[in-house]
Amino acid sequence: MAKEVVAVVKLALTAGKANPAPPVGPALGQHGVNIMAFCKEYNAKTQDKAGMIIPVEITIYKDKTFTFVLKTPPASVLLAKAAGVTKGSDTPNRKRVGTITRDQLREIAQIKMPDLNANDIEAAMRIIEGTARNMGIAVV
Amino acid sequence: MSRIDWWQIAIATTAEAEDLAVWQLQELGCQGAATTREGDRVKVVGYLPAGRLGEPDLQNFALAVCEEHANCQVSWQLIPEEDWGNAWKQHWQPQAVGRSLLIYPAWLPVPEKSDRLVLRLDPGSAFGSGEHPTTRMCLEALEELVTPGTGAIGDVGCGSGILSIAAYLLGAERVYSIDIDPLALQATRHNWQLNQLPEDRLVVAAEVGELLFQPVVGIVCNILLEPIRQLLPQLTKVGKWAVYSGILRDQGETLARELALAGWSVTQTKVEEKWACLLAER
Repeated sequence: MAKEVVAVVKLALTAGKANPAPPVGPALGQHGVNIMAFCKEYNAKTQDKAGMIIPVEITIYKDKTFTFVLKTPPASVLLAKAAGVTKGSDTPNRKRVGTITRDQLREIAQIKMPDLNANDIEAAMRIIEGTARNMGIAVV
Repeated sequence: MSRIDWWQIAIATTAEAEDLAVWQLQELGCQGAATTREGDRVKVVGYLPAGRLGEPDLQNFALAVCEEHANCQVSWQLIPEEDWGNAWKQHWQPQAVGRSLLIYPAWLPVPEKSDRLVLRLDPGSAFGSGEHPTTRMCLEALEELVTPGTGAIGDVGCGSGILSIAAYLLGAERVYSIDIDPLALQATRHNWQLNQLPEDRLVVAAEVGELLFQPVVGIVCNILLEPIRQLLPQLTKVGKWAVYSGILRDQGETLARELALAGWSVTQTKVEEKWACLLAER
């Protein structure tokens, strides 16, 4: 049935490890969402991606039921993985912590394309490159 | 275990910078983040146990974050730990529906005495909690149509199983619960068991076609207008009466016309808020 949406919340969570602790509890509890049911379903659907951050967009309806769709991993996570870094730069504009190639940038942009507000792959690459710059990762 | 406070740290920035904000919170030590959209801006919120950082750390964090975003605000506050695993339950209370039904959250002890039929429900993600007008109207329609001795009923788009269970409690002999979502079928089975109803009186299936071969006297279908229209060629071959909802008030006439073409007439239209529920007979 068509239902009135009261909130749309996106959570960046570690695959297979959702639990009622923050950010899940405070984000969903205020809307009366059955948190354990959400965690169980999210974990079941992401268990094959253990260790990755898999964002999930949850639509919460007036009657407190919900639906969710899994999203692509954050660009920052994909960039850090591609550059082989575990930590961003303390001073990104001055200190470089890693590099990625243009091909890697394109690959990440392609992965992120469904979730980006970009008309083409070039525009997506520019967005991802901006994120990389802010993390201290240069595209070479 | 003693309760702890949490820092709730929010970065308000542009939608394009959402991933960067998630990364920055993660770098600070937050496990995960929650994002809400406000127009073309987002608010990304992360949490940390209060003991891990102090105000000066957060002030430094805010300065560093704002250097990387074109236009952002960073704010933080302390929030007390709650039993988040159970706190959501306070939003669910027993709810009387129609003349005779009482929707009862699964975790509350069953009342020893009630002049209503108690329908226990474990609310999960599956649609149908009794709080939506269309579910309420369907329940009221079932109260009018189902009496002890009524034969088999079909529940198309069964969701949580609330209508299936109500139909059985009201007197249906058997219920065929249909849903294309496997989680809904699982939820229906779970809630059926929760109400300790006989398992051999419930048949779950993913295909509406299942109903064509069963001695079903009536169906209840609480989905959306478009899927209802797509299913009408099959649904209108089943039973003597039908309850359709999940449709908007201004969609009622469209559905009534299509039902008429298939030899069905609408005998009653219920409305609540912006929703409609049609009762039809062959």
